Amino acid sequence: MLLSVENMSVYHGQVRALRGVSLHVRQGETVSILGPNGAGKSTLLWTIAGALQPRSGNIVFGGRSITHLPSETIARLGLSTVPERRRVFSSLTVEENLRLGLWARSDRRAGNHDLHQILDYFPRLAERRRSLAARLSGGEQQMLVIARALLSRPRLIALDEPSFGLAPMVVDHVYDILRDWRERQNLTLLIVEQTATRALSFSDRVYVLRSGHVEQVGSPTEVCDAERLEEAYFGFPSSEARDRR
Amino acid sequence: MISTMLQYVIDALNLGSLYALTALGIGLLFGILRVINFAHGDFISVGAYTLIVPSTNALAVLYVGALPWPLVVVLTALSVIAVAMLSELVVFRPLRSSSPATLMIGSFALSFVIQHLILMVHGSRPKAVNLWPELATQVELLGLRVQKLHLVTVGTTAMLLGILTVLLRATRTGVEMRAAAEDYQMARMLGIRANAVIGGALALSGLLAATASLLYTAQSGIVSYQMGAPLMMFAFISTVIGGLGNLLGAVFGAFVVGAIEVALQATLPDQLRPFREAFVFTLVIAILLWRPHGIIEARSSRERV
Repeated sequence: MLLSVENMSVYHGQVRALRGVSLHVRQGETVSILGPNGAGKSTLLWTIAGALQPRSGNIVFGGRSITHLPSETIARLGLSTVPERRRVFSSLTVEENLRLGLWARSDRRAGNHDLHQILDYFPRLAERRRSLAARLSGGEQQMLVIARALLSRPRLIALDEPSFGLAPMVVDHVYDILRDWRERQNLTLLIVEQTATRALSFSDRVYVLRSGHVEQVGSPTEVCDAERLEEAYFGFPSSEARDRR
Repeated sequence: MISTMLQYVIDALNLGSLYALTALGIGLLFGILRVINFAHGDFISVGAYTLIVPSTNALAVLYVGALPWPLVVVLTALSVIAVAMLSELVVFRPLRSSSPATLMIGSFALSFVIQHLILMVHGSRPKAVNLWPELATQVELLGLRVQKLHLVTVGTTAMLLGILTVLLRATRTGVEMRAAAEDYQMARMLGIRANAVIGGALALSGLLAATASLLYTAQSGIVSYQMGAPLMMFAFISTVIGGLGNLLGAVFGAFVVGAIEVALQATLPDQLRPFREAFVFTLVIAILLWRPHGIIEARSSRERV
């Protein structure tokens, strides 16, 4: 078990955002977290990344409790988080953004070799390595944050809505890249998505979150039962799903 | 006529340099901690007071200030950096996760504490300090008679700006600092050690404050426990005009404020000159009405969708 979250509750002030959430990710697995807006998906990732403190519960990564560790330590243990909205450092160049990923690595031998490998893989970033990250398109920025995370050679990458605000073709490209690197580096992925279809076909297991707790767990085919998924999203099954029954 | 104009330009550059040094220290910390450190002016006072023997006597006796100049620079820098680091440990680090308002109040408290410690040790009377009198002589430059001290001030500022630029652009620490300044949380999630970066920023702001205090004391010839306040005020305005969170803007704003002040000093009728600062602030309000985010808007304040 690479990552396990045990019975965790998180509050935003007085408001409970997550209650008793348990989740686990095995080495080499791709796990998706689905759910409607406000279900607590991002809160879950932020808490795992150490940016939010849980009120109760425990988070274990690689056999070690990371529950109250600061974000930078968690990152250095090999859990790389890619938050939503493509958090590039817009006033830094593309290359500087990438170097930050390289420096995040715990082994000191990280060198230019990996940087060049990544630049070969992402020719668009290579072309624009000296321009400010602010000047990149949305899709290029998404490539940049993924490349930055890959450079830190993490044991697990947690991605929050990698498809956010991107054109469908670009989203395909992003998922192709993730699929490719998943095989190359035997990456473990934890992906938060709001739209279910793509994540379902990409994942080994799926958690459906609704108003702060886990509503469903299972393989994509188990969770794919349209009625129950729609119920999680809208609180009631659509007439279409009811007719199918 | 031209020589008078040039004289004003040099005055404006000189004043702008002092503001720029101060504004950079404020801007550097604002970028990373999101707090206007109101104690920065008092860091400057601390630097000035290390020059003299601690006593409540009216007459100041040079202490560090009597040493050869490289030693003066090093010892002043070390003492201000020490105070800055101590502030980090006692005030900023414990308040790290508090709201920006709390941090700001914390920096106000720090400011008062430093002022009153100086008051206790040195007394409340301003004291005359004659630092580096040899720099008060004039030299010929482009047909103008310019005080050496003004050249040293402008030159030192230019040099520090250069060093700071190289540091922020070309070193790992610098890149990490800029990253942390733009998006602190994301920087930490990339494994950047927050405390190290913030400590580094405070040390740098201490170094800038020490430089400002030496140049300012040499120019004014007076130390007082509130001497940092006006510099702090104008430098703060400079960072706001230039665009908060933008170091280049802070420097630019500092020279704008310096130029406005010198221009007003030169053109206002005699009876209005005592109220010069009111005119400066009126112009500042006008600039902010025109560009609410400062003349050079920080990149991070615009969001790309």
